[in-house]
Amino acid sequence: MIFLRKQLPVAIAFVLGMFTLIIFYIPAPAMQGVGDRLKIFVMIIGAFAMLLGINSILGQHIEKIGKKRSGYGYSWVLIIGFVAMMIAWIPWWAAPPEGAAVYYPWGGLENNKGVFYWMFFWILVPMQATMFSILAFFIASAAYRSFRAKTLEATVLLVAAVIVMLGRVPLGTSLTSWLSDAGFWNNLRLETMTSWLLNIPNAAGFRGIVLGVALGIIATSVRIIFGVEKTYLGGGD
Amino acid sequence: MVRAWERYLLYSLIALAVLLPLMFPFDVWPNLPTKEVKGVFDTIDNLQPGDTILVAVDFDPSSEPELYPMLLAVLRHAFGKDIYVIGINLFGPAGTGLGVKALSDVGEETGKVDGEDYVMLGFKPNLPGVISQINSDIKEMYRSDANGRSTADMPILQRTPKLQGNIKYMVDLAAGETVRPWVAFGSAPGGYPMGAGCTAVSFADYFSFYQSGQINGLMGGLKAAAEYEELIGQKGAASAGMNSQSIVHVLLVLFVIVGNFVFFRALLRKRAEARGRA
Amino acid sequence: MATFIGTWIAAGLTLMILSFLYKDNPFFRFAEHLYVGISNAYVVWLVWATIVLPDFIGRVFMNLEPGRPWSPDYWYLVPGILGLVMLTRMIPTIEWMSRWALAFVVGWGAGFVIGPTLNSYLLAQLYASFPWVNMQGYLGSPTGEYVPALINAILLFVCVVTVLIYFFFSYEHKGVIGGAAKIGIWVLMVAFGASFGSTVMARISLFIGRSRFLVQDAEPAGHAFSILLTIGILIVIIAAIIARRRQPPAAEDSEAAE
Repeated sequence: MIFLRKQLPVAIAFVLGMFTLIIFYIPAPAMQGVGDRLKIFVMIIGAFAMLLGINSILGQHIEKIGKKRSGYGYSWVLIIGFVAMMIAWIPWWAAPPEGAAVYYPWGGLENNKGVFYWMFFWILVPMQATMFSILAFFIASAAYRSFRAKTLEATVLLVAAVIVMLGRVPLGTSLTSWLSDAGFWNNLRLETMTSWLLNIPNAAGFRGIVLGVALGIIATSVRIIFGVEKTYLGGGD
Repeated sequence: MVRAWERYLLYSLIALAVLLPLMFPFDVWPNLPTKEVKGVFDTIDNLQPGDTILVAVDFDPSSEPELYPMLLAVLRHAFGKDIYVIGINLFGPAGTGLGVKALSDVGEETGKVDGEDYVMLGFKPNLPGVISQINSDIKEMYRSDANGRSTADMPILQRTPKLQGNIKYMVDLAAGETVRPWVAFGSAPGGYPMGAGCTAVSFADYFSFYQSGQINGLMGGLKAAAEYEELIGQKGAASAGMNSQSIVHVLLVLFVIVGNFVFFRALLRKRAEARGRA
Repeated sequence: MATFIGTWIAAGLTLMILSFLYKDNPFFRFAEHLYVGISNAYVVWLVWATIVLPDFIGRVFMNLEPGRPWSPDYWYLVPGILGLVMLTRMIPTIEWMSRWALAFVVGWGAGFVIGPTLNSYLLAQLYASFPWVNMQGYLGSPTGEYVPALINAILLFVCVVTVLIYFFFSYEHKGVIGGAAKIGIWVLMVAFGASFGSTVMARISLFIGRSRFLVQDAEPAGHAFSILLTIGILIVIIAAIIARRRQPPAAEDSEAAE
């Protein structure tokens, strides 16, 4: 039983990891065929995994309704929204388009006159877009409240941020548009300063981070393949 | 600490600074195209009718205000030049719907036909595997498109059965971290050039890839979308928002300056008082 | 008609979510829960209709393209079974079985990413840092172009090296190494400052997009809606100024003390 719970998963990871690593460096046609299948296999397994999160959310809210915990009315809203959207794509809502070679006649996004399509574009899209738009106010509040030039490093950060914020908008670039666009004075134009800042020190800074991340990815991958890293399997026995 | 009245005042000023220029539009400050955006524009502009490009709609509605206008501008440019477009979404499920809508709306504007001139392949998980697989065989990974139609006999995919050797360019409109995997698993092994559009959040981040030449163009945020609209001569939602963007940025810089002024004034006063007591 | 109703519903939901700026309230929570319910149903549709049905069921169990020759490919039972095994995570007594599916996916991913990461993230990025690589396009250029390009190329190289030295914690950061690490910190501060400036731009753009919808797409008649919204905001500003006047002068020193 220990073998099935602990050692078999590590063995599976080793075999697959080594196989995909080897076929990158030894691209034999037969192995490439197996490699292509594995990509589709992993894609299908990943699709099933997407359902796990949904089960977790629905389970929590159904339990909340069952035990009548505080705020369970909102859980009803969630469940009703879910059921309404599920009913919206059942086949009898939609007919396949005239003359189309339809793979399967469902009422999902492919039917742009259907209820599912309508709910996606008039409910889901506006709400998801608005959820993130309120961050605009929080970042303004953060800029006023905590962006202080207390140290030299903080001042450098602040100056770089101000140059980019002004150099990336038409009003900002208009402030220095009176300077000549050739010769030395061109370097003091906001858009030139912004471009230099982004292409040289900023690119260098993030390149250092990318190199570090790349080394981390390679190290972690090797650790996973050789079974040193097992946290992805989850805890317990 | 920000008191409640300060917070509401701040929020109200930001809201007004955004709403008033949208209610009363004006055209005063020119939006000059930058070298990074021209990289993408010039590449697509130099393609020939009948070439195929891949547009990765790697965003979802949370980045829709920045990247959807960019997507529309790129599609209008491509369809205007009779370039075929393969759309794909590998970021998150909701992006598929946005890609479907954008392609069908712009396709209808320009008289293009789904399945012949463009196709929207849907979302599949396992980003590196999907990119790598479609480099060598699209239909094996995508047996149907996002509209549920079989890809087996689709004319556009008969012409372009795989990306490697068949597409002339790809543009990744990315809300998250998809540009780097596209470079590593798609563009570099597939041998086709690549440009990127991204939200302004990751714009600074991708400059290391732009500087190295791994992407030949980089469009960051609403400003880049507005520049692209300017370049194709069709102003849209992005251009409409630039006035608001300008005013809010200047307002925020003022907030930062005022905030620092208040802070340092209080600090100097405190130090003077401490010296006085000593 | 559907567009008309949809516009009003979208505008209403947008305002419900924006009401969170005042404080958490029932309208916001209603909209938030509705969004979560609908988006989960959308994901179920996507997974079933665009992945499981064509890629698993259509390959193994039935022909979904009538009139086309078809034969079952039983190799695809492997991901189907592993996918179902992955779902055992929902059942505490047998959730250990999901480790097989996880090991399959993670092990495959670990081996798959090493080669391309090495090529594109490590080697290509390092190669592009060297001055002689970046100067290749400037050979034979006039001095006015060559000299600034050379300065920038050397600066880029120095910045990359100092950032890498900063991240190298195996040696103590003192002396020459410490000095180089200090420069690396400043380079990183510039990078993070640029990133912050861009992030501000992104967040504002998101609100501009929603505002454009409210002001332009959701207009019932002329500018009536926008004017009502603007009057509402002006009332908030006046209320905030009055609230400030009524409040006893708070110690601004408290900020300096922090």
